[in-house]
Amino acid sequence: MLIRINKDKCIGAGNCVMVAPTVFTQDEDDGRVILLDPNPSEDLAAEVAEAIEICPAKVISRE
Amino acid sequence: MTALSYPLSRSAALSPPDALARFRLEGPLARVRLWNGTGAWLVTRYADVRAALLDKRLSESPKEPGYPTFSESREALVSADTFVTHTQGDEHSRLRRVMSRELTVKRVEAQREKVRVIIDRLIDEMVAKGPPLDFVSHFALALPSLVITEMLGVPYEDHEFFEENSRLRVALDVPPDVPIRATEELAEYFSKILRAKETDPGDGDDILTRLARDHIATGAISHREAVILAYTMVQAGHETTGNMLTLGTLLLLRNPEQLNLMLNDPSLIKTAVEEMLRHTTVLQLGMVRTATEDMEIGGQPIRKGDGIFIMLNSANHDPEIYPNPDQFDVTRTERNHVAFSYGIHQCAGQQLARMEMQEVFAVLFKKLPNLRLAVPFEELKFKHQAVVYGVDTLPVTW
Repeated sequence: MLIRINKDKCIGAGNCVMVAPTVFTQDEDDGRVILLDPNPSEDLAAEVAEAIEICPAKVISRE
Repeated sequence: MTALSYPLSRSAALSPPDALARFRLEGPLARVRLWNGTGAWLVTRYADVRAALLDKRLSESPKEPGYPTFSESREALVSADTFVTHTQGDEHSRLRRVMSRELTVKRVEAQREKVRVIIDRLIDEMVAKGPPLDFVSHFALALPSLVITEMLGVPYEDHEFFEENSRLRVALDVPPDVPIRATEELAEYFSKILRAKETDPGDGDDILTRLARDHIATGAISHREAVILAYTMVQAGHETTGNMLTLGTLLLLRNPEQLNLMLNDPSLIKTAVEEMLRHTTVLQLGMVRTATEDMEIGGQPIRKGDGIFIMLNSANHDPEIYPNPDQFDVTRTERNHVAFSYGIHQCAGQQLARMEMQEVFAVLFKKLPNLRLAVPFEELKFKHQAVVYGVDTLPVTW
């Protein structure tokens, strides 16, 4: 699956890192999301779906 | 039917106000009457709550005509003060990023071991003093207070000053000048420290040092903005986590089968913490907004200038999302609750709050297996007239 993020709109709540730490991390300068793995394996589908669901700024999507 | 007065009352101290369940069934919005005689809408259903918190037509600014308030003292405070949660657009992004940087998952994890040491020490001190004693001042408020003062780089000796003024800032049943004066006291305190660090930042590894050196000195934020961020963090680090630790402990004491489940399976500590957050939702009065145009919420029309309270506690008890919602169940796996709100103003310190709670509930009942109330539950005084729910004191024994 392919993951997209909109870093401009990210508020750095860290929820995606909490649920999928191998896919997402945070920029140390401002806490905003950085994609560690833009194409994670399907094993991580549940975690990615949860990250999308609980992201408070709605900046994560998958294709 | 006449509208109920707001804040709503509760018949059960550890459940949300009774009227919310009825409101969720009756329609998307409920009408309530405020302290000054004006009316406002409550948004009560989970889907509507999340949608409203993302809706840009609903303004968070107290300058918006029609902005509703909880009490006379709250009205005075929001008119006089700047809240990060009331800022919008570029101003919000600029301030938010300075805070988020300090509260990333990585930075929070780096504090975990220190938090463990503090918890052990606080429990040892409780044991040395002996029961009965007040759990709030000796533990639940002391822990977040020690953590946030160390992270900010201010002396813990000043903790009574922070705790008292943080409490007064969110109290509703006080004269209007009290929250304003409490805020001025906090502002003056941090302004002095920041001025000194602006002259000589030193090499401290703490938030105030970084605010002075990396943000004020570079012109990214003003001195005044840094002061606001400092007291916002001290306040948020005290009242919310302190009350969650207290109410979480109470929930476990009142639900011994759930406590046993958690103690027998440490993998349930994380889900138990999320369940405490969901079930309790200490921001009991919801998020405040004003409609900036005629619009609909959940299909119901509202007018420009209408005041709205978005009820986080009601969303977190919506049976559409959480079956049997009033049951405290540490095995629920959902993490989609809105205890930290939702949208761009969702709590910046939530990972710190989670970590402190996880560490506390991993050891508290192991070290004090007979921890229990030292007074009848019915005698506890809950803070119905405060932005953040909780109790001021919790006498315990073990």
